[in-house]
Amino acid sequence: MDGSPDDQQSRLSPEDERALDALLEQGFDANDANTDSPLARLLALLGTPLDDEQPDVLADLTVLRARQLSSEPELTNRDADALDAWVMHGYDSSKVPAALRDRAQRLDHLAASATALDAGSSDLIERTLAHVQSHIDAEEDRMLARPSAWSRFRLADIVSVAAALLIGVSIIWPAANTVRDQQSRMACASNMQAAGAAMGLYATANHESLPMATASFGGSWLDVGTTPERSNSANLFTLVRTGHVPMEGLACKGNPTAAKDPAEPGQQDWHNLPEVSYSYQIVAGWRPVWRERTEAGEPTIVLADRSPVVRRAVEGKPIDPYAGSPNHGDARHHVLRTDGSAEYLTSPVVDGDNIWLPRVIELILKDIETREGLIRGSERPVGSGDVFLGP
Amino acid sequence: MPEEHTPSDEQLVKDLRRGDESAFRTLVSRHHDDLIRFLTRLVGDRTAAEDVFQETFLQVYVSSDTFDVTRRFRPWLFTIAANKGRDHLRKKGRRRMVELSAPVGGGDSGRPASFVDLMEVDIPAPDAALDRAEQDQKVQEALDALQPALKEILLLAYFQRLSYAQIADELGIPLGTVKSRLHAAVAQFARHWQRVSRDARE
Repeated sequence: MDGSPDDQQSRLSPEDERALDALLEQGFDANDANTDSPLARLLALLGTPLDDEQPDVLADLTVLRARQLSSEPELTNRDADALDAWVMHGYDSSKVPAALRDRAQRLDHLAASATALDAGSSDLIERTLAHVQSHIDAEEDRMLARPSAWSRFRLADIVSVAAALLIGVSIIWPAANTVRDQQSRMACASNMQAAGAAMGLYATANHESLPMATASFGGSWLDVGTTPERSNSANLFTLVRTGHVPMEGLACKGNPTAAKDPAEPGQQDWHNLPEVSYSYQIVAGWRPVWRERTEAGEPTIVLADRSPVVRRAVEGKPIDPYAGSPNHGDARHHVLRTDGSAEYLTSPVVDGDNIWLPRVIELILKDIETREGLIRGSERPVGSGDVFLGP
Repeated sequence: MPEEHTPSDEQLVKDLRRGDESAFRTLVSRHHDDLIRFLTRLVGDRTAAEDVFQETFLQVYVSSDTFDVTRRFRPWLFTIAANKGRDHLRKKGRRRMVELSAPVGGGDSGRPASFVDLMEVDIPAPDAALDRAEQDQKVQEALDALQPALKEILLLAYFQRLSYAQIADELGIPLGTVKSRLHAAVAQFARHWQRVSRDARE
């Protein structure tokens, strides 16, 4: 065997071996080591500081890691198996193998406690939809405001739009004609006047927008008091909810079932149709009509005494399309326009448009009313109940 | 009674793209409860969660054209929500140091990794008659003590009820990492829960 004396044949002398054992036994410390001992000097080399070593940082890190380790809880093997089985079985402990089921049930409970939380009112849904709607509106405005002559028009128009939206407009109310008339309507008129002023304030604070709470995403605008609030009255109720008008301020004396008590906390709408005293312009589609029309410089009716048609329709009764508001004996009604003008009308037809009716119903009515030669003279009574008179 | 046809989320997104506004409303209502719970737990307070909720659905609306309808809607929604929630926490500058300093378990440092045995943790059954508000607050406290990444994966996994593979796919992290993170998240949550419920009893 004449291998290199550098490898396996290198051995410490028996003296050195004894010295090493003794050194290790008593606890070797490089700093205390007797520098006369070659063995001690050799071992001390192992402790040579590294070039880039930052002992403080390392120490801190080590301490932090140790602390983290100590605070890092781990699942037991059975719990870990139960967790895997629970996840694999769609988070349903009843499907987990029986041996692990009791642990999986604990996971059910743990997860349930983490997620059990009152989801709260559906108000958030409406606010989310309104939020998206306002984004859409802003996008539309941005697209309309292209750099052109149009944009200059828009700039000038913004001021007039604001002015036209009841902002700073003192509402000129039509004078009552008779004492009797006055009694029946003055309280109601002042309510509407106050509501109009409140809408102006609301518009000032809300980017020239009239009160809006429900967005135009499905639902029936007739459903007063349903949850989520999709009724059009919830839009008007915004004035109450935001403190612009007290509840009583939107209760007409001509409506015996009007709600007068202060709104409950979190209330979003009147509880039912009879509580509602005023009708508000229906917001449908992506943009409210009042906005389109105001921008075109045309005032439009936004508020009126409550509709006779809606009441009858909700009661499942036939409608009288020409009736006035039930607030004033089905005979008359106040209307308020976006330019702050107001009127006390006997007919719901304003500029050829029936304020109680959507266009589709108006067309049906018009068809009957305007069809020429509808009565030909050849008709005969069809029974004893069919009495009619002629020339 | 014939079962009413309920359109899938993915179908609703298709409808929304065609301009059907009611489809969007349906999506918002359908996911309202779970998403607001998820976000409240994630960001730690209700008001902020509501803001993030609105931002999330605005993002869904704006990005509906880019959604791959061959994929599932719910994970997409929750991923958007988690991103928005994370943004919110970042803006708020909520960098938690609680992991290193919170008293955990026995509270004595220097112990090696400690095992949690779920059978020994006092977890109330869902129907246990507890003070709802108090429990709610304690749960939030326990969740807030988790490292943010663990909290997120715990909530995402549970609320979406995804398999490990699906979570890995959605978050773009290896399956093994998902598994170990979820294990750690459950263990931490159980431990913190134990602590806060014990604190409450004392």
